[in-house]
Amino acid sequence: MIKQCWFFLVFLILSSPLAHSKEDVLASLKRLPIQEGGRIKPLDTFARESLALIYGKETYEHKPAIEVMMTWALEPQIWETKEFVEIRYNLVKKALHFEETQNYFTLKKILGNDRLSYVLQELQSKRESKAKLDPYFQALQRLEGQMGVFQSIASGDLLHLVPPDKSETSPSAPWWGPSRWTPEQREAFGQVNRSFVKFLLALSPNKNISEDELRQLKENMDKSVTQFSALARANNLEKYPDYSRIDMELTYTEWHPFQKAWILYLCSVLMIICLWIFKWKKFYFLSWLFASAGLVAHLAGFILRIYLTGRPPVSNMYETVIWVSFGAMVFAMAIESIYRWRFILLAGALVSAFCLILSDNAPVILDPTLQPLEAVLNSQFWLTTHVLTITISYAAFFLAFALGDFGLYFYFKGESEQDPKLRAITLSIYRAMQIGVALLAPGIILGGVWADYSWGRFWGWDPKETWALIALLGYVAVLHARMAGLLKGFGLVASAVVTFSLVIMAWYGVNFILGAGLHSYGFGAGGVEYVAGFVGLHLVAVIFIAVLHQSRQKMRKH
Amino acid sequence: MQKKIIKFLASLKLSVIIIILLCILIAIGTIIESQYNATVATKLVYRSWWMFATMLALVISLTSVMVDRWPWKSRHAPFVLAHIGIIILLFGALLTMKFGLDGSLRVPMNESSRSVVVNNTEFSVYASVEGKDYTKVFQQEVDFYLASPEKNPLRVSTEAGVLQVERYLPYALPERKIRPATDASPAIRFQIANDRANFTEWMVATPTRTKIEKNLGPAKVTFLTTEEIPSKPTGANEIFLQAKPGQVKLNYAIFYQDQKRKTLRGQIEEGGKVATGWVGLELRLLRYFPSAEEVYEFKPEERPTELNTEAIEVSLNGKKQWLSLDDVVHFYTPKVTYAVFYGHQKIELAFDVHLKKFEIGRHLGTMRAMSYQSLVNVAGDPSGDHLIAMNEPMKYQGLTFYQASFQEDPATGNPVASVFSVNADPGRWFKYFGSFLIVVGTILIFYNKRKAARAQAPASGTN
Repeated sequence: MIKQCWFFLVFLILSSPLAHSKEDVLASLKRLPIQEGGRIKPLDTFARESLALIYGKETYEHKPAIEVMMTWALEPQIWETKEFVEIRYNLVKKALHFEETQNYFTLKKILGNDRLSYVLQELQSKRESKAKLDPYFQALQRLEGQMGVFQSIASGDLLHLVPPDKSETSPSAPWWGPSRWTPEQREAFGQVNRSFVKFLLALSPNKNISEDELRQLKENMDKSVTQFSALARANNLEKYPDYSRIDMELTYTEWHPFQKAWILYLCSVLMIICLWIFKWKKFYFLSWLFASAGLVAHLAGFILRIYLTGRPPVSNMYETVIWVSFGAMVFAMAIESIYRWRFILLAGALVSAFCLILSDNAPVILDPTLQPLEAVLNSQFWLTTHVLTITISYAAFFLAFALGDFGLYFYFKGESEQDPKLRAITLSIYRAMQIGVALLAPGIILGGVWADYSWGRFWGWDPKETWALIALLGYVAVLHARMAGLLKGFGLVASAVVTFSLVIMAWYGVNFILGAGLHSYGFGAGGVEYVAGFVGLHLVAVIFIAVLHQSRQKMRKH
Repeated sequence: MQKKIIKFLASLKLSVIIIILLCILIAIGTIIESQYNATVATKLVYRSWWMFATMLALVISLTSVMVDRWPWKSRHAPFVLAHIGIIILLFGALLTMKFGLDGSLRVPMNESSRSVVVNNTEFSVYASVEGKDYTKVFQQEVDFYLASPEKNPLRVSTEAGVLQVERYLPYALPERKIRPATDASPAIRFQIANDRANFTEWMVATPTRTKIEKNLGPAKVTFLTTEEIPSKPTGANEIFLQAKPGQVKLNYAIFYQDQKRKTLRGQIEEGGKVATGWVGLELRLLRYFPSAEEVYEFKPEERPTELNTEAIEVSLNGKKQWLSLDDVVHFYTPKVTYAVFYGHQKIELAFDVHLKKFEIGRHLGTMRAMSYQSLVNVAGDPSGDHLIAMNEPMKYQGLTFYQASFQEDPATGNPVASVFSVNADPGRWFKYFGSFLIVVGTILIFYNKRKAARAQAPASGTN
């Protein structure tokens, strides 16, 4: 049994979608460097990001992004009639008189809509009034962006594949698109297109291709791409990147370490459940094994991301979610290794897997793309330390929250406060809260030090910092109330769940609900209803179980 | 009795109440900030008397609990350290608020400046007998937001009568109004549009400004009130409109870049239209006032935006005028001219700061700033030039200059001025020392408790 698990583990970690030989034909095309969004990236990343922007996913009906992007540049008409543009915000659909049950629309339908120009004009005048854009206008802005990206890829404008020559001295000069290429470069890219079309035709349905044919196609493709990139490189030898970073980025996107991590964490959860059902001690070892393997994948993902962006990953929601889930796992493993109560590891693995799954599936809210950093936040030791410290404290509170949920469940089942399980849960909640407070207080102070160091203002009531302080005060109040004897067993369990709402507000709400202040560079619409639902359901559950618990305690006394 | 009071003040229950109160207060502050802005939140919450009262209660509670535990034992060290730390930190904050300087200094490219703009606002009146040599006749620090002039009238008696602040609008949108007037210059409103593009513009001439030009992408439009339309094509896509006194119609001419195309000439009246011959664009004359004036009116708005500003209405002998923040209006009386100013107070430094160079690094292929820095020279400073970059401030004569932002020409994107935040903070080291104690205390609390609690933990494998 243990042996099988080892095999599974090794297989999982090494597996990647690259294994398909069909896609292998496009490998050289994928690593062609392109300049977009303030940096140089592989063409594959560009294709994935563009597709994700328009369609919300990185593949379209199992077709890889690079294939979609290439066909869409070659034959835009085909894509205009596919239900391809994602619109999720109901008010936008309503404004365009679209069916609200549908989430994807053809570009033709959108462009042909007679209300479109009116709606976009509305957006323009809203922008001109400089008022804050509400979610409706943010969704409209996205639609505008979707149409823009579609058209500029269709016209080839965005294919900045050639570095500017020496005549452009500015270090930030954009790379050149097809309109500025030499005839040779254009011809070479035409050859790339022809190789691609050949590949597509060979792939056409119900046709089996032999290994030989595939090799032939690949050689053809590699040759034309090499030819083109040699011409592009000749334009400016210094600006053309070497391939080490590009290849590393391809590895990162294709290997997808964070996905491996959550699968492994879920395996760990499964093992603990097996432990409870089958009572076989080895399962405990296995759950540790999977959790550790997950943590290794998680860490590897981090290191890759740091290498690719050249900075610690703490600049947007996506990156903090990844970091918090990492912290939750580390803390859970630390507390678990002391007390060996099993459910701490379970809570950690659940929290971590939950965060990572969320970050994999909400690209609009949690943007996974690698972004250059805003000027104010650039290269700052204090910034990094303070954000890392504050967010890692959220991990401890998240763990306390999950443990609180377990506790609520047992109270719901009618266990008493003296039950050893509940005493253990209460103590671990207390521990997690202490870790959190011991990290959050210094984290906030480091934020003050950073602000003082950067612009001479120790505390400026910035909403993000202020809400971190509110969360800190909230937990400090809980710890003081516990000392005063106001919160005992059930009280502490309930407050672990309730107080976490403050963390959610500080972590998510400030950007997405308040949407004001210096820290909101990652401002965007979406998900508010789900998060509010999540918080609301928990609060209702706490109240319900509190009433239940109270009445049961009265019964016991009688 | 004394003991009882201390016991009450030192009680944990009271401290929990104070902490929760503080939470609620500052949470309200952040909500106000998101709905309005930081200034309003500061005025209504962060520097309100209830905030100070809560802080005071906190300090009393923190102190009493320490008094109550006297004499301290070693196990008290963590909580005493954390509590003293908070008190010292708050004391530092108080010093900063009372005696600190927090302003901004804007220095244009290759120029010098020494005026530091601070947050406080003032109302001042200057008088001049012959239209020059203004002397200050009144100055007062004001906060019209908290003490509105409607409720607390502000009157200044002058030789010409009583000058009064009538109204205050916290968010006023300046609106340009063009209306017919007598003995003034002509104004037109025209539109150039097809089914995809649409430009609508006002052009208002004055006695000194008789030629108005506007570049609209596809063509340049020129409005003339005294000059004649050129007789020959200019070699560019251009539209000329000419107003003639006493004439209801305007003369127009449309020139083409393509020299072979024939120039279009003719007359157009209000409501009339002409096909320009460029991708279906039509020229329409929407309004024509042979004599018009341009005035600004202020429309009250609910919330602050980037376009609106604070404005006050000032009157002298019944004549009312609007005045927006950091602006000046004049009242002309037979003998004296009064200039009225409402805006931010300025503090003059003892030295000039000269901006020699300003550099922006941008993200590849975009206009997004990646980093920026200024090279400045302080007049009379023998140590030479200073480089001020993000996170690399300049310290000079007890002041610290931070690179805060920059201003750029909206048309070209070139920087025109660098903005520094100028700062003096007498409370800094108290805040740092207090922070240090808090951090040490918090970590010690955690450490102590861990040792104590391990003994009472239930056995492992409980489930």
